[in-house]
Amino acid sequence: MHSSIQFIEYYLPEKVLTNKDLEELFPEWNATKISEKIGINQRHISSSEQTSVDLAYEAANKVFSKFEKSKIDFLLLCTQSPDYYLPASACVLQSKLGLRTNIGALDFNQGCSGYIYGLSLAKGLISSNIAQNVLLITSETYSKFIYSKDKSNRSIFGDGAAATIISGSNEQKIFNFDLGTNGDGMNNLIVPNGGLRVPFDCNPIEISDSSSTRTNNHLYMNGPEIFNFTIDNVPITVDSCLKKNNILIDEIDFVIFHQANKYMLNHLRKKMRIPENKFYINLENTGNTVSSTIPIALKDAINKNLVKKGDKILLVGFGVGYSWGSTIIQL
Amino acid sequence: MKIKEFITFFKEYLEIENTEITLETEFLSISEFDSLGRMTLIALVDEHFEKKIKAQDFNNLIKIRDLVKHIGIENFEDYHD
Repeated sequence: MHSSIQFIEYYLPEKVLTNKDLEELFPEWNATKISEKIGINQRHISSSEQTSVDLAYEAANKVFSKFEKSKIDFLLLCTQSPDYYLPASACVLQSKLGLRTNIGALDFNQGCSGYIYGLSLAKGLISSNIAQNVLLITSETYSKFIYSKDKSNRSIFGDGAAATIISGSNEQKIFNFDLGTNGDGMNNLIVPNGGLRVPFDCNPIEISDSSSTRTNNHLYMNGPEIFNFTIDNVPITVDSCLKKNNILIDEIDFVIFHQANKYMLNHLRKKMRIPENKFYINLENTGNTVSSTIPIALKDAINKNLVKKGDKILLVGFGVGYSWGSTIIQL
Repeated sequence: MKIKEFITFFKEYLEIENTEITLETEFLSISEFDSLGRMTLIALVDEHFEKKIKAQDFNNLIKIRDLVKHIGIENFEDYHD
């Protein structure tokens, strides 16, 4: 059985953090510069009571207005901010959503590559006849990992969730994948404390550099090194994905990369000679929502008629891990 | 590339307007050289020289002259110590 994406919906928390808000919090921070360089004007932030499961719940219910939830026979939840160490948040969500109990459900822990990995898992489940209708949810609340004085990460990341229905189909609409992993880069995007390797520190010291202040209980991102990682790996995965699908870049109608930041995306686009009119930049009102940037962009591109049925769309995710992946889909 | 042209690129990429930049300018004195500035510099060097600046390399960049040496003086037709 082949597979195809049926529906996508997303949910963003109500609370918004604007560049003006950031400028008030950090007077040395230039909102105009942030906006122009990283392409973000605002990001949505979950409330203190709102978790990834809550955002996932909202996104799923939006998609259930278009697809009967009793037909779902597998739930995949991509999150790095689960409600509990155990049980799996997918189990919590299955109950909360009132999904059938004779279905599979699991969490998988990936960040910016998560949507691509989710599509690959959904395709595998369908092609092996384990499932017919997979609900893939990406949901993150990175804001809860970010230290209040960390202006760099607070300006980049936003919270959000996306729900995608992938179903069996007669025609293959999710093509071949190229996936990659290099754990050598683990320390360049990490929450160092709070797991079982290094416990949460009740009296953490503040660590400052030229751009921000954080503690080891919070998110750390080595931006320049992450940029180097993307320069090294994104062109290779794109090339490899095209070859695995016997498709030339000129035959691709639209390109959606993980929406990391505008500057990085434009550099990659120019380096890979992808025409500007085929390349989507879509993080102005959401920021970097980690695993949800690709489905959010895809949904927005559909709504704005930037893509149409039959178009070949190249999707590329890359980031924390390091982990990356790419595929081509047709609507 | 000529040094003058490189410094023009450097100022353009980092959006430095009212500060004079020479080979002896120290990175620490450039307020635009924050995390975003480093990312921008990586882009400049990748785009024009296809060279890398790794995170640990930044520790050795004290002056603009060090950056020119990191890129490779053979890339600058009018460079001299």
